[in-house]
Amino acid sequence: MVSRQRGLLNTFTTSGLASPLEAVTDLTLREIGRAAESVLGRSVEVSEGTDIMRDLEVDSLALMNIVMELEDSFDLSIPLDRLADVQTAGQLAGLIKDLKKRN
Amino acid sequence: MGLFDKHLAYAQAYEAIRNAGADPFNVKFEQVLSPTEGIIDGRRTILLGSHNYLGLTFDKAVVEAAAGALTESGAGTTGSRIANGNFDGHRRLEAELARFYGRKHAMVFTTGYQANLGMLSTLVGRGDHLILDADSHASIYDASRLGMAEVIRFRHNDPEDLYKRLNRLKDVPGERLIVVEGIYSMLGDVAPLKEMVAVKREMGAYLLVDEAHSMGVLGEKGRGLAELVGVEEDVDFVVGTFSKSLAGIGGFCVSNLDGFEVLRVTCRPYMFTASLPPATVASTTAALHRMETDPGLRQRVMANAQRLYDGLNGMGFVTGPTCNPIVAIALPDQPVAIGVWNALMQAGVYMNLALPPATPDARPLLRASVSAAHSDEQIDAVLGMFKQVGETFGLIESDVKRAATA
Repeated sequence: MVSRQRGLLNTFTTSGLASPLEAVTDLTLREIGRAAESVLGRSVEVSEGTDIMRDLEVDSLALMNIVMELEDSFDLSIPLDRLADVQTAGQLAGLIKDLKKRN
Repeated sequence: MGLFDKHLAYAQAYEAIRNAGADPFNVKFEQVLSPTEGIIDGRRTILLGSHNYLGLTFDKAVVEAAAGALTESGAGTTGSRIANGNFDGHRRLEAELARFYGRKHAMVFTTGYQANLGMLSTLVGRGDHLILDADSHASIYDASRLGMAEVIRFRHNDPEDLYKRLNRLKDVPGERLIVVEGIYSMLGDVAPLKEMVAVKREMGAYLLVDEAHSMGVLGEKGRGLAELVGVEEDVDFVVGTFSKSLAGIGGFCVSNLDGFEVLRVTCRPYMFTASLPPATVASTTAALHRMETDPGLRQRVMANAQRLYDGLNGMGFVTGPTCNPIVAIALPDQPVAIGVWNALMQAGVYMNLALPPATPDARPLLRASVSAAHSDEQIDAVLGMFKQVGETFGLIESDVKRAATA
């Protein structure tokens, strides 16, 4: 799954479209990492395939607090019902991108 | 692989807690002697862990009403109100609640949990927005999953954050329903309701207040936080429960909004469950009457809360921000919390132990629920136990040490 997502981005690279796209995703991922670090009080490694709850050892409460941090930094609300489908950092970044478009 | 494998981490954590002493999540009362005393493990124990705010569980009028209804109307209704009929008591209780709150409509549910589940999942639907305080009760979160509305959380008790979230929805269609609680059950803190009402007015939304822990406790008539701060007009829906101040079980919602009655045929947690048994309906109606006619009950529970709250703070314990019948004591970590809970149980007082993630800020909490029925002597006895246990665990300084460092 993870490699397939990377592959998708790579296709864009060759077509010359990817750099801005990749930069946006990377920026969002970096922001997710920063929010996690601020809530958890320890350094974390976040990539697209990171399973937020399992890999970052985050419980439901901490996850909610991470989401609140992200809502502030991106100035948008992330509805709880949309979060239900999110497992990886890549999916969360995708959701944030989607919600930004709506605003 | 088995069905229970996914719960393995919980099972192991629970096992570790049980191995540390008694099981805080499965306390057995061999006998309940009064609203404030029971026998646990053969010991006479002060009960400080039930939400018996007005101490009405053994009230003569309340118990007699239940006994009378039991004899007269039988043990249960054996069905739901839409399919199997209303008993006279259901309608009467609803009329009494509507009158008590000064509102046109009242609907009774079989539990308080179902009242939230029903109201929140039915009032807003697809395309609407349900806006919750982050520290909402589990029944509110569960309701948000049953309904189809978009669910947005705002920071606990933070009107500015609420404003920010409503502002982001400015041009988005759909109704907005804000949900807050009168008294929050973990820390005993209250919502800044006046400020929230101002935000609601400015941004346009409906407001529902869950007064489960504040009914019978706050406000001159005991109608809760909205009455206390004088904003009842701006609260569109009040949800409450019969299982705390009213000493029974069940839940309700009252409102002045026209069209409310349609909920009786659209609200699934109201429709598809058996209605409250006659004894409970009668005891609840009697307890409501007792609560209304004896304001001394409310004064006593608040005075008792103040006695406990001041005593604990005076010793140096870390408590919640507001003095209310829920008195929460923050503890540094889980092993200490479990140790303290067990030591207090051994000393002769039963309280609640609340562990993360059920608590805000990932802090373990000891939680006391004070009753109007507690005597000054009982509160002082509990404070004595806290002093001893607090010193043993190094949570507070002993008088000797304090004098030496002063």
